[in-house]
Amino acid sequence: MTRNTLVALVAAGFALAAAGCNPFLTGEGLTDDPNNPTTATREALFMGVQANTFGQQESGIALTTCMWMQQCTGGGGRFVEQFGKYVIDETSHSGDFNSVYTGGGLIDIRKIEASAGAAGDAVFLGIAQIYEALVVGSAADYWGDLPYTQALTAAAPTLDNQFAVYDSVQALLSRAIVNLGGAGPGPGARDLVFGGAPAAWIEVAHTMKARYYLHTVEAAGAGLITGRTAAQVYADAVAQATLGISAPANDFAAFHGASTSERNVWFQFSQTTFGTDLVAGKRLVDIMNARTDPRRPQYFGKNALGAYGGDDVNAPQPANTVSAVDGTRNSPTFRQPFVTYAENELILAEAYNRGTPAVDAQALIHLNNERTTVPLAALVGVTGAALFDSIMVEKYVALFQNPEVWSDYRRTCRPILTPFAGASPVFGGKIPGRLYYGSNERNTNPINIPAPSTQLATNGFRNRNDPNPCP
Amino acid sequence: MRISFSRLVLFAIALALTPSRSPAQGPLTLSGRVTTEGGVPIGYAEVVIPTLGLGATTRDDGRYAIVIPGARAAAGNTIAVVARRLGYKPVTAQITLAPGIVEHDFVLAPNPLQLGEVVITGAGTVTEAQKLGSVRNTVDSTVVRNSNESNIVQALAGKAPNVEVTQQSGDPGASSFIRIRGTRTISGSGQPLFVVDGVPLDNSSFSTSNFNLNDDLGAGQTDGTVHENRASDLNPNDIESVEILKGAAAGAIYGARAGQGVILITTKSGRAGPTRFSWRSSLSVDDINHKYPLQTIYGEGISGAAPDTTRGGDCDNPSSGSICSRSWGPALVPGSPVFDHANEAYEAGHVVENDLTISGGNDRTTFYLSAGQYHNNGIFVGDNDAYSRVSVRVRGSQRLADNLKVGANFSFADTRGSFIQRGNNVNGIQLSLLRSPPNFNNLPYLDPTYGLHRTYRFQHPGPGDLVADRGFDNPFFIINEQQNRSKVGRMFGNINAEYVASTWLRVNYTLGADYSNDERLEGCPISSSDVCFAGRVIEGKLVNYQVDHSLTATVNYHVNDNLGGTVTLGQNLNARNFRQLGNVGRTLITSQPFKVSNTVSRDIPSDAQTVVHNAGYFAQATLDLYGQVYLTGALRNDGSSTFGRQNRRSWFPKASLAWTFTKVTGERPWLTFGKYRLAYGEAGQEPQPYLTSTNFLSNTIVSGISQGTGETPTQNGFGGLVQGTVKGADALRPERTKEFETGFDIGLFRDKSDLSVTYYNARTEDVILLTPVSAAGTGFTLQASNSATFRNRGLEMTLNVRPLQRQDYGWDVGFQWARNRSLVMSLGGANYVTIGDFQPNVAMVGQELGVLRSLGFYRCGLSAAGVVPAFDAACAGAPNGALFIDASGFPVADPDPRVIANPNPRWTGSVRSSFRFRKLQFSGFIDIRHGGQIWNGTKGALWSYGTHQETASRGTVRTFGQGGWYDGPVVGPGAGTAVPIGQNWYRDGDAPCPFTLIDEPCIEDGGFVKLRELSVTYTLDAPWVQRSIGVSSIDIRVSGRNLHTWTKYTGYDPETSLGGAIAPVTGIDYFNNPQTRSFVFSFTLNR
Repeated sequence: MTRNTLVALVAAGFALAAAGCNPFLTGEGLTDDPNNPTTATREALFMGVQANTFGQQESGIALTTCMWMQQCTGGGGRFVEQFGKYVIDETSHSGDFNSVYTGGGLIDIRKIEASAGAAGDAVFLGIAQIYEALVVGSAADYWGDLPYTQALTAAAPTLDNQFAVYDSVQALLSRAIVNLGGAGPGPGARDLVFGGAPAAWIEVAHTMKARYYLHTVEAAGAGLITGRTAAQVYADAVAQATLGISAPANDFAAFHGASTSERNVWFQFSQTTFGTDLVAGKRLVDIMNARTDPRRPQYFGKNALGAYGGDDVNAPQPANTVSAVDGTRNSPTFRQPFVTYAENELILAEAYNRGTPAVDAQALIHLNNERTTVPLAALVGVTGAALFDSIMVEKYVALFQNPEVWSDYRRTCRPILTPFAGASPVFGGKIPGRLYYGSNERNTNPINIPAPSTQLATNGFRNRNDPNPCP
Repeated sequence: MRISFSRLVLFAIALALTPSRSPAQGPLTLSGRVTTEGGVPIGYAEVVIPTLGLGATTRDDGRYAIVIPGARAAAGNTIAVVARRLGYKPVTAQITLAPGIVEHDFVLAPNPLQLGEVVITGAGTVTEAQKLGSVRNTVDSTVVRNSNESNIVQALAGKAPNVEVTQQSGDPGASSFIRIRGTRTISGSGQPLFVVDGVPLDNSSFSTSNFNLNDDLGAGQTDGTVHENRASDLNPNDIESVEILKGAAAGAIYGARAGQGVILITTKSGRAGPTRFSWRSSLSVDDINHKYPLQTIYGEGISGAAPDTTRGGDCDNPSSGSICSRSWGPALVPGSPVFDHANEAYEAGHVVENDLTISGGNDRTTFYLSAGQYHNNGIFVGDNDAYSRVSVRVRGSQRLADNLKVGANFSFADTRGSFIQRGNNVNGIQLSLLRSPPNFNNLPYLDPTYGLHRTYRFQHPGPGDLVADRGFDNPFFIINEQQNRSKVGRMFGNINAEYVASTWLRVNYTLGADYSNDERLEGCPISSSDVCFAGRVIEGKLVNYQVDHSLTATVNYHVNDNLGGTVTLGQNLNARNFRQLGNVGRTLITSQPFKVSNTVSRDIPSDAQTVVHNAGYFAQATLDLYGQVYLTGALRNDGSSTFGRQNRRSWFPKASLAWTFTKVTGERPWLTFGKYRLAYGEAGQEPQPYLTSTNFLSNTIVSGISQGTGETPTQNGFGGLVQGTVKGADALRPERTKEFETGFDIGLFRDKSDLSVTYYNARTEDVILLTPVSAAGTGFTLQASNSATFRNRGLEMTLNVRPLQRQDYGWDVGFQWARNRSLVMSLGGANYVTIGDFQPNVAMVGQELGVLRSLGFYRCGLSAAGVVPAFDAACAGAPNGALFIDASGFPVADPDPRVIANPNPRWTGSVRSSFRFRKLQFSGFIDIRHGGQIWNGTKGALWSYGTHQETASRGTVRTFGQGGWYDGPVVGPGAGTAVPIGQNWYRDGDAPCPFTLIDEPCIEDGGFVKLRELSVTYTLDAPWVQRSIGVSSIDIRVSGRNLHTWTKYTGYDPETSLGGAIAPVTGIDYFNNPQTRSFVFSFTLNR
């Protein structure tokens, strides 16, 4: 009996183990994550790409450049004000850098493109290519040289020259325009911007081409791009913008719902503890006050005195004179504009004004086209440098909250801004001309991504397309 | 022989409780007293008759009584009787039985090295202390009880060298983080494996805020409330002893789960003999142990200007910005009211604890019953910070046959916590309390005019301002109106059987289960600040279920007196299932109740399950040679569902040698015992589950600006997904620590002293990192891989001295000292891996693990040349590390991050002493941590807010490098320039580290000397006690806990851990709650 019990006990134990050995370690829910899917359709990924892109365009970089451009001013002494005073480091925009490539960014856009291409859905492919162009083009604006040719294919990708990135973006947009003219059901209602309408996307692609041409025009003028003159670039910009966004109704603007994480990111930010740290910038409000700009109640709230006023990073203003960033735009469902009719008209205006030969009459027409939509009274008889100034100042006002303002400033030094006087001497007394590469990228790709101090010491912390010594 | 009344009573009880098995023959009784050489009674000593399977335990007065049924032995028989107690050398006496009562007293000599005592070495294996080849660290029940800690992990603080315990804060129920011989992993929490009576115990921690992915961006443990570590569900009163298996050499028998060490807990059990009753009650009064240094000279405002604080003025407009949020206003008029924000939120907290234990048994049956009730009302005013635990334990065993014993051990705990939010959180108390301007009265927290929540940034809410943002919540609103709850039901236990098949073969079987259900609630009311503004409810549920099966067979062999040993074979199967379900509801429909169903909208639910299965086999053999050399070898093979497909199983070997060299050299008066130890072992840490999967996610928040912002992939009713940022790993193996350990234990000066010294060198390979990968190159940011190698080396010493041991008085002192140095040897590619989730603590090659890599100031030799004008020239010939001062007279922030702080202590130690005079005992315990830097972000933020005491000297002119102001060499055009230090530096300059990210100004030394315990105990066991009260003895104890801390640290307490037992790094302080000190009065009734 004793021996039998022993045998039974031992046998039971080992039988339990032996019988269960492999399934016990590899059964359902053990080796494959039971919590998340491992496949995704292009329709589902496209939703993620749109959300990510809207987030990128409305997020930390837009907030930072709004302050650097003195359209906004930081207060509160915390990270917002610090960013506004150029206190940034390589971690500050590391997440933004990553999101160019990671989930919702390039990795998913490429999957959509591959899937749409394989399915023969040219419209879907074309729309995805426009998202890729916006994401990569914006990244080139912020960081200059960028991993692109080797993106997603190399453990330590090399950087493409910024001009090569812009060239790639132009080529991509050209292909997108062709594809959008092709066949396919497209994303349909899942396209939150235009409901899948190819015609509107074709206009957006042309305006974007014009935008990125302009981003190289100063460099071309300075002889930095082989075989390209400024005149050619302006002509290209005019050619593209002429086919660009034809009406404000066709603006490429975000779509937002009222649910917690579908809301406009600027609005979400205004609801957080840091929201009150961002107020109106005096430089912008002064310009708008001077012309009684009807967009003031869209952009800002009234100050305690019932008027509009902004704060100045170099000369703090009394609290009761400062407006909050709290106009009709500050709504959960506000469709943040990214590429617009206004920008298109002002690109035309600038290109006509600055092109060779200059056609100021055309420039004025396009400036006034934009002013009419505001509405602002048409300008008459303005020409030359004064007209250029009017165009750029109007663009500065019209593109509020859009990082494109920072690109324009770096190209044209308009409007005149006084950099923050107390900034770290590492910036050489200027408004920072680019962002630090992300800390994650430098950590994993130190061969190609230089240290922050080296980035500062290279070309005065400015990108290749930025030869102008704007303060 | 004197027969006392008490002895008669005892005899009567013994008679009454012992089942009479043989009424024909009268029982015999063996009785007596167990004392020390000094005559001090030894309670809880075991007196057993091995041949009869009978025994008893002594009462506190040292008395025992064993009733021997007539059928088992007759008068005239001579039997061996053994008396033993942990810490004393066992004594065996041959006693001849006689009719009636035979008296025999035992005198036990101290056994500082626990020679001859049985040591549990894990997974069903035992050995004797002198045969152990690795260092032994035992904590017994008295030490656990005297710590007055409700959390068994905290009770281990300072109790063994290189066992570092850090409590998250002084909140009731706050978790404690334990680290043994340095950190060896950075995946998971890095906590050791807890095993209770042979069954693994879940000691996980989970912050309720982690249910709220939207507002917290994954940093949940740094805001919200503190959390519990689940081992705190154990009632410390039930614990008999704790063995700490520190290195891989000791822990290898637990294979892939022992990489961070193993804590083996044995609970109390009943013993044959009269039924014992014990009732212990204690009352503790707690208060804040250090008041935060705040200034009370300057009022609300900015740049010396005060805001208009009348109704409708500056401070009724939440977007008014800095003028209302800061205390950089004008000096307050003498005599104007000032409010004591450092003290106003606190009151005396208290703890009430009651424990009842009943235990006993006979030769066939033993039982142990306990019930414990613990309630702690914390130090914040009101009753919303509280923690209570009601626990019951039943343990019994029955000898079914002479060779088969079955047992069961079950416990139930009902644990409830109510917490106050803290940390990086505008709905947390510390942030708003410490930032309150000294001239703002936080009371009443509801505006008397409209009854709405008022705060210093929004002083007069009007009738339409119910849901307007308050900036920061009023601290009293937080204390009184929020609800943060945790409610846990925990069932833990096992059934076991021991079958002695023959004299040489023993088989043990244990089937254990651990189940807990934890219900969480975090509710912030309407009119809270920030993302909580319209009210928010987080409801969550955590279910943890673990089943463990283990079977071992042990063979004893004895060839001759010089050669013998054991062979153990074992098998272990373990299944763990963890489920979490959480919901966040926003915008309360009506103010109460805090239910998700009472909200307007909900976030994507947090819904996850993890299942882990392990199957392990092990064998251990021991060889005892010539009674002085003891060899042990073991091998474990572990399989885990978390290992990659190609590496489904892994081997973990160990080998050790113990040599009692005094057997060869002979005992000397100054060297009574000497043992040399040498051990090597390998232990592992299994990967986190599912790291091998590459997933798409629906709930990742992308591209937010700050906490509380972001987008989900699902938009406008269309489901969306994005690629997860963690790339699946193809193959993962367990992390493997290979540890070599050597040392000696010696008894000195006729056991008046003993010394134990241990050196270890642990190399952890295949450390699993979520290694950063190039986002641009791969589209992912992280991928798990077995990529890193860490090293931990250290030295541990224990010295106990007993200079005086007499009958009436005695004095003993114990010292412990330990150091651990970690080194990151490789990371498999990345320069560094961030392991902090709030601050950039990193693993970085060539550095100690967990150093802070962040921004500092331009310093010669440390910072890059060619960026800042004049820096290069100024540093020519300057000492390395000289601070560069530019023409403005201030330092310049360096854009390149570097290592600026090391949170790891240089060494840790403790001193314990007790002095006994007759029945009065005094004892004290000092815990020391030398070095280890802390990032004091609270100070940095309070500088910016102008409420920190140091900002009271605003406007004072200082010179960098001189007079206690950044002392050290300085260079540069502004060196030696005196500059005013005020708002320009503390708020607008580089000082406020949480906002500037320039962390150098906030680094402080976190070393401390802490008076952990101080107590006086008096034992009343005079005959009148029994006559008048009916108990055998009463212990009365008055003690203090954490009475004083000597430290340079300027925050609440250097013992602070924002992430608690979740984060593998310490040394981060950001508006964490304070620590407490306690005065405890307790009494114990024994019968």
